[in-house]
Amino acid sequence: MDEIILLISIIMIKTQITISNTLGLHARPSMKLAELCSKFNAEIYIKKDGKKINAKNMMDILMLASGYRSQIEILVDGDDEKIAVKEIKSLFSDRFGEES
Amino acid sequence: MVGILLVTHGGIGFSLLKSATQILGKHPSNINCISVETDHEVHSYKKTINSELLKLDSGMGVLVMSDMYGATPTNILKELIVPNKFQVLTGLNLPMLMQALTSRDSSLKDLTNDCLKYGRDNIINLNNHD
Repeated sequence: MDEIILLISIIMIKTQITISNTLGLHARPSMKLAELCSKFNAEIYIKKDGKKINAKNMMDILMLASGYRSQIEILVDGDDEKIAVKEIKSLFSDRFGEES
Repeated sequence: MVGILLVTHGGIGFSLLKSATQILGKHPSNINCISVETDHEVHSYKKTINSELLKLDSGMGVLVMSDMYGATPTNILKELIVPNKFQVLTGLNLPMLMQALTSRDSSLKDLTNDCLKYGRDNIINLNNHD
């Protein structure tokens, strides 16, 4: 469920995602996610276990070592944030095209 | 785009590039590998590397990565360092290469520093890691 956070003048979309592909966010999905996020103007971050990283950097995503069923939080802030969240969620729900 | 040159023992550079290509999903541009074989003349490699550096430099410089400090590939490169034009990193690993290939529009200096950071950060003793 998306949640709109209002912080004085900052509006950010925040969404929780559970990793559902069995190999987790390994190299190829990290690459696909970073590529997708890089298409948008919005700033996109991932939070996991107290760490917050830039979702446009493949190596930063990879180093979260997000395994199957782990929970991450996506934070999106910018003029194209709605479409960005939609496409990011779709990538995760499609399991990065790895599993049918 | 910063050019990338891998100068390594045997096929290490080619193997890393092959793996990186699989992860990227496409063959990256403006990159090449040179295999240094110990039974060849060192002098001939200097010429080859120099020529490759010039080919790969599109104006933003070239990041050269070799596998092992103190070894012949790195020793050859020591003589070819040109600040602001060619930077050389040793200890090449796949995270370094991936960072280089996914941040090609950074400046040569920033790219070099980032590759050094990610290369180091990815050396982890899993026994002591959460």
